[in-house]
Amino acid sequence: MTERDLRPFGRTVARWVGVGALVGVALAAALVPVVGSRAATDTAFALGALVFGFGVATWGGTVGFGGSMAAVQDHLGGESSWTRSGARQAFAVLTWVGVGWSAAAVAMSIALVGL
Amino acid sequence: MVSKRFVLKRLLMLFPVLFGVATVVFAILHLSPGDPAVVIAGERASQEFVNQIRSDLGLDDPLWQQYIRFLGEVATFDFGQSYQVNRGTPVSQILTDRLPITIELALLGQFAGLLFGLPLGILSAVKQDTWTDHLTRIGALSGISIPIYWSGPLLILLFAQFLGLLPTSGRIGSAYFVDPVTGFILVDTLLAGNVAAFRSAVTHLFLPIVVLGIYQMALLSRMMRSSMVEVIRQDYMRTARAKGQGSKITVMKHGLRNAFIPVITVIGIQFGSLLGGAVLTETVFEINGIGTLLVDAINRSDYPVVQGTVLVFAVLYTLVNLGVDLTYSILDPRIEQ
Repeated sequence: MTERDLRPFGRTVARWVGVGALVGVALAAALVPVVGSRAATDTAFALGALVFGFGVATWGGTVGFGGSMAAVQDHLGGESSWTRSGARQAFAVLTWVGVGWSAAAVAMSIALVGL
Repeated sequence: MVSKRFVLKRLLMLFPVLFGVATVVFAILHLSPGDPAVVIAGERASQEFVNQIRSDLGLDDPLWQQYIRFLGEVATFDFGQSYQVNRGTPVSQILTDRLPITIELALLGQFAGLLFGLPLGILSAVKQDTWTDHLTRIGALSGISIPIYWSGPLLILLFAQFLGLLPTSGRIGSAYFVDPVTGFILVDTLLAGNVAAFRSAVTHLFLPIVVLGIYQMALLSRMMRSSMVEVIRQDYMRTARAKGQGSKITVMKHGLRNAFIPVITVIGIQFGSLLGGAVLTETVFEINGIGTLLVDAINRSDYPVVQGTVLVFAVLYTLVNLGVDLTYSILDPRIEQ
């Protein structure tokens, strides 16, 4: 990856991490009056971790095995709109959203509950 | 020949997959209702006692701290100790004891499915639109449609209750005791040279294997049929026959290899349902494998056991699919490109 490639990549990552962080903060803030600060930040973190974990697992699966899946699809002559790069990008977005979401929930937990 | 780079890349990708699965399992367990401290203490225990247990287990720490601790434990293959199922026993020990039971069941179920499913699928394709084909397809459709929790009790009723031919539950008769060497009861009885115990194990495992194998057989025969029907129509098959090669040799030599690729895909994907099926089968036939362990652990909010069990399932599933991926490139080297 050259520096020229890295800049848009960095911007994309920052954008999705930011989106995740906003969701994490909003969710934790919305839950605080309902269940209390400890349960609210824990729930926000668990949901963020769920998104993050799903993103990482499926991204890893796509990078590792997507090539063979695509080759088998070609071999069978099947046609679908699924592509390896599309799937990889979608799961990468989920991963970065999960990272931002979980990190925001951790920050909220430290701020509201303490270490 | 499969290149080392191809294998290495896939092995490396197992780490993010397993890391992701571990994270998902952790998150789902902590989002689901149920408090392990309450389960351990009992519903009538005082709040102080429950809090004490929660503190001892580290459940009163913020969730992100528990997550970091959990990842550290997983990285060292230490899943902690069971809260409830086998209280105080290391989860790795429980898994070591129970895993061979489920693997034996799943492998035998898969073997039975392959043994009958593939020949039936080939036969059905070769004898397309004959009575053999119709019967095989009806059988396959029935096999796919019957769920394990229905076929299991029905077979128990027929073979154990009415006919009295086979036992209803367990892996071996209570009169036999065999020292576990490999954990696979059939292998252990043979290693012990105890023929009567081996016979008892075979009769005990027969119904669970049939129940698991029916679905596999049905699915594989359908897949093999449709794949083989496609291959039979290919030009190279017609050319081989035109050159005077017998139809059996043409099918076995040229057809099978190409027809296998989609079947292999299904075998890999179906391994997950085979493990899921083993959970149900173990419950129906009262076999103490990893499936019953998982159900028990979920019911009792035993977090370490659930996490360890699901991770082991994930490892097995990804390794089987790694094998499938490597098999593709052996069957058709173009796939590796």
